[in-house]
Amino acid sequence: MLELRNIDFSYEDSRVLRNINLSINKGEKIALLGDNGAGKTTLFLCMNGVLKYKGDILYKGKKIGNKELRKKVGLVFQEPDVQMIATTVEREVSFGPMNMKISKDEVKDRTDRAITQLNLEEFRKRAVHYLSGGEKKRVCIADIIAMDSEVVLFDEPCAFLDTRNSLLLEKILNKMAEQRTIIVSTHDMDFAYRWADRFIIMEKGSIAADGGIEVFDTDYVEKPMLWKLMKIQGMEDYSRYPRSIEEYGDMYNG
Amino acid sequence: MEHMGFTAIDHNAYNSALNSINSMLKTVFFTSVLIYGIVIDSPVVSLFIILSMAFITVVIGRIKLRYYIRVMSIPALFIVLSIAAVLVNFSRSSTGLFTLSLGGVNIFVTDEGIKKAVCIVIRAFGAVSCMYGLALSTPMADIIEVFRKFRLPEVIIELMFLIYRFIFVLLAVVENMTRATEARNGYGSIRSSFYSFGSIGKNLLLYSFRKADFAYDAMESRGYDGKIAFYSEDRNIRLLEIVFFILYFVVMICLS
Repeated sequence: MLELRNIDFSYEDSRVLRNINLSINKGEKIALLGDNGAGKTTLFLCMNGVLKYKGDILYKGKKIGNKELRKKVGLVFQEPDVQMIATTVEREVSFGPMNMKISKDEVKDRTDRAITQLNLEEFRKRAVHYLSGGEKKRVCIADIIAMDSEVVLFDEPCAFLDTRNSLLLEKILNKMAEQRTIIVSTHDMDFAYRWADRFIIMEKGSIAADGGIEVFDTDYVEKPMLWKLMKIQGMEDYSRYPRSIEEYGDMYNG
Repeated sequence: MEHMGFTAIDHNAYNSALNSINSMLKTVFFTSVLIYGIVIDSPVVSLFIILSMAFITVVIGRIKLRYYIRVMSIPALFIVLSIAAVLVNFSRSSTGLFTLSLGGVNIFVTDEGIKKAVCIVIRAFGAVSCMYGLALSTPMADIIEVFRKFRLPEVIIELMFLIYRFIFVLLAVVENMTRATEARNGYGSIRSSFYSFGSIGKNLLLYSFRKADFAYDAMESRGYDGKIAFYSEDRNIRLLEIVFFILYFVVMICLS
């Protein structure tokens, strides 16, 4: 669906992305992992077409320009206060569709659907600066849902969220993944392990590992709790590793 | 969360019962009452405006009376200071209702001066109460939208939207920076207070530049191409509101 070929990006004299080659398939749930400064956010900005990179990005086999890329690939920023520019929730959610030059009825329809999907009806006319952190995050997701992007990138979605809101966000991600390709950059290894099907690890601007849970066998990132537990118990077959505490319970009770 | 100053006015506007009324109608109503009150120059009309605006804002809009009195007292100081020039006369020979002689100069207040000053105070308060009526019933964002409908240049509208949005973002940052400074005894002495104040100002400037860059990226990521456009539905104007608008003007015309 989305193919990155030899993507390179430098901020003045500092090379941030080095020869990135990736193939993203439809419906995948991908976790992008790596230390701070590994280039995750920069890669997202290139994939969304905000930064001018060297190399090619192909969408469904065709090379597309940055403007077109922004319609196909949505990006939810880490800090809601940076992403939100409008004064009320309704206006904020409508900003992306309005830029797509579609009819007002279509904009209204998309805005309504996104607001309903994220349970934001009661906040529709409310000023964005009076919302809580979790509510702001939901508005930012609604922003992208309204654009109907087929690939959605989430830059550290759980940052600044409490446990309850993080779990709510995980449910939203799961629901979104039924119709879209989702790529999440995160430092929360337990969440990544539980949620994703594929793991891409970045190290100093390059792809250091790409695959299933076997990538945690490398030393690039911290290992998830359940993964460590299985290792301690001597289980070698990764396909049998439980991905949640519930699966772990079933494995032992069953 | 306690709201202060501008944010408090905006917060009250969001919570006002009048927020549900079409913002164009409200803007036209409050502005035309303000202009009429100033042009007509009738103390009776001005007094009517003060009382009716207080009723509209507090009783119909359900803004707390205590808060309304507090915000009305802010311009009161400026109004009282500015009428001193009208009220007080200086002369070597003339005297007035109350006279104070200082070094051969008579400082006095005349009957006519008092009447004129009272008229100016009432007129000024009438105008101020119209402005508060609008500010406490219509959020800033809606007022900006009205300006857009009045065909104000797009660049000014966009700047207003962004400035309005970033006031809240930067206020939250200032609050955090101030708390962090206080936590490290940054305001322990006059010297350290000056230093902390300067540091916060400097950091805030740098922070706002960085945030502006990020915000621009975020806008571009959603297809921004030079024009900020939002979808919003206008609230319908109801017949009762138009009737009220007309009746209000009929009463003002009769009083003047």
